[in-house]
Amino acid sequence: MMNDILKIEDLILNFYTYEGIVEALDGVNLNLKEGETLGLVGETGCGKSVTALSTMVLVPAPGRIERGHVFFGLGDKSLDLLSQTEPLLRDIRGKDISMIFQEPRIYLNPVYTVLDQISEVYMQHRMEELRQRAIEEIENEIKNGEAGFLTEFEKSMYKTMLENPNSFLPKIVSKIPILNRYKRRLKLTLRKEVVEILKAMEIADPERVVDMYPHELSGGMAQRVVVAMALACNPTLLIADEPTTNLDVTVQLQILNLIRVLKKKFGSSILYITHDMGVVAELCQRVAVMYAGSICEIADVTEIFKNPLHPYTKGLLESIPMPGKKFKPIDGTVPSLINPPTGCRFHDRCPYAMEICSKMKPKIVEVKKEHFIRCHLYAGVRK
Amino acid sequence: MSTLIETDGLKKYYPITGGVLKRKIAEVKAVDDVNVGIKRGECFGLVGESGCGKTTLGKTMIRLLKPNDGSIYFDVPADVMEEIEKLTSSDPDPERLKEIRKQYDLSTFKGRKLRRIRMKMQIVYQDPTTSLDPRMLVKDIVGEPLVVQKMAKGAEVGERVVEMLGKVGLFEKQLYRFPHEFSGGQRQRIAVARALILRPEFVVLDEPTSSVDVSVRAQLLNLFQELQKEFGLTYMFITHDLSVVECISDRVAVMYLGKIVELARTEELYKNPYHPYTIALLSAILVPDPTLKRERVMLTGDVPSPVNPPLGCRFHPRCSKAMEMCRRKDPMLRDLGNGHFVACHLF
Repeated sequence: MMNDILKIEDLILNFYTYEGIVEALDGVNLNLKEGETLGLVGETGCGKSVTALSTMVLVPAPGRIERGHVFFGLGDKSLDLLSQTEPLLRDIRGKDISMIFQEPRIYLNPVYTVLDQISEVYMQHRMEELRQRAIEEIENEIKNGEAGFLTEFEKSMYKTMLENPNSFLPKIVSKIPILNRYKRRLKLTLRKEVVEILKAMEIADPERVVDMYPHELSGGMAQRVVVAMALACNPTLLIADEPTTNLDVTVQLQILNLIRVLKKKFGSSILYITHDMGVVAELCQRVAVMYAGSICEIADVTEIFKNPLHPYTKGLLESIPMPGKKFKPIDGTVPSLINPPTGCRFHDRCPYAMEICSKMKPKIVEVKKEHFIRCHLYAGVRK
Repeated sequence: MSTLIETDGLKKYYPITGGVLKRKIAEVKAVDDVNVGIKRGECFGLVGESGCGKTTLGKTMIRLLKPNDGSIYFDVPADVMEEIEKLTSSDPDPERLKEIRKQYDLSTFKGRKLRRIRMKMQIVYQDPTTSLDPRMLVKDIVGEPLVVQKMAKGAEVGERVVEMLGKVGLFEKQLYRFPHEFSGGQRQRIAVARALILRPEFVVLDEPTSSVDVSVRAQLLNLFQELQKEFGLTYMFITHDLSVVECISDRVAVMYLGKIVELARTEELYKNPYHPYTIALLSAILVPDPTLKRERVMLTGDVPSPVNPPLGCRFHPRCSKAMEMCRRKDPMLRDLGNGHFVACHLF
């Protein structure tokens, strides 16, 4: 398909631990269309977060990507992220793809203020733009006759830095007192920018909040700061890894609304990872259900809720408590991924398991238009 | 149904110390003047946002924490309860009230007397990874209450542990294992077994399902209901998950900043919420149905700090229907009929 912004193909990822090899991802196939919100649902330990991290090529230490591709970008500009160099990836992370993590208090550095942490994103990716703006400001001042005796010098400083970011002169001058006052202007520009984005996050009194440390923020506010950080560079793809799991319901609703509004404003595509079917119904257009390292069903959101086909999806939906109904759990527990069940990994919990299920891993089949499923029950219905 | 446990003006303040001498400079009013009565055999749901004092209330009710003020009456005969009511309302005989409180009021209990009464009330915590000792075997974890209360000795402990484990869906072969060898759902089952081995009457379930997955959550909820039927338990189910409470509780209380703002039968509360906070809370439930689009009541801002709660009604800074009176006077919890209690000036 042409308008896929993200396409993950046959991604296999193992963790090499002392207990053995954890087969965390077992051939993940996923595509995200431009401007769409895709929900990635599954239980703890099914590989949702690892999928997200491998999209950013940030898989933590004992993990290794064995095989697969992660294509990012539209049409011809599409890149396989897994074969790119680290400096290029660094440019992409935070600017084109950014991520919101589950626990904002852990994600934020406790010894830096909100201002410091958000401006880091700007300094990494949008320095040129900020320097340009500083020069414009200085020129305005000169025009209006407000210039002091250092203004001309300041302008030349910014010009040198803009022409050659690594030039030697600013590095020396920044150590000399009085002369290094040119840095203040950039600081102020950054501050204005950060206040602006915090205002867009519907934070009350952003002028005060920018100087706060993470421990002074409430859970909802901290999450807004993290969202601000992720959206600072207007990314094309936003990965949200359970951003509302630890928040209260009322705050969760605020954050979800915020994400929806910002998505409209910035036009990003969102990969939304969650285990809460309620959030999925609220926010997403398409849903991918994940179980033990592979995607077992992908379909439109209404289709998933109305007409779930995979036995796991059915079980997941039935296990949501509903008043007046008996609780219907899925029997058994999530299998260990060190020695995963053979064949279909769901077969020992599946009420419809057949003989073939324990022997062969099912292939992904398009049962209906845009409704993909990985299950032997539907192997024959291929169009 | 008779009342099993009742609180009267229960208060729990945590001191904030400061300065060189570590003197008390402020107080966190975690539970502030709460009156609830839980009936025998019911499942009483307690909902509220984080930091509103749900857990503190639960812990104080079973006297894991000492309340600053107020009384807790547990399993008091009906005629004594009547007398207490008479004495507290008109107060003709403070000496007699003192005497009764000494005999029945949990908040005055100490030492051996308190330990004995604790046999009848137990708690299951939120996160089984932290509430189970990682160095103890399952056999010892589940059997410890029996030893502490001197209910059993030697081989009998083992027998009763095996019996209890069977009731919660674990097996005898798992006796000699450590907690880390179990999955989250199984660990919570161990915690439940530990709580129920003394055959308590009252069990506080403090967010027992919030750390497990959806499919396991349903298993645990089923287990709670089965055990309640089997042992005739009374539950206090503390949670922030409104959809779970709707399914499991008979009555629900909504808590906001240390106070109960609404209390009613479950169906009644979900159909007919009165308090603006309850309405907002209920409208924030995300229903797993993409075709359903509802009007939402959005709350702005965060929960204020319980150190300096707003004057008057504690909800007024976030309330859309706040009036002049709300700023000045704290509303009382009043009965609107049919056992529906609301603390709001609107009603």
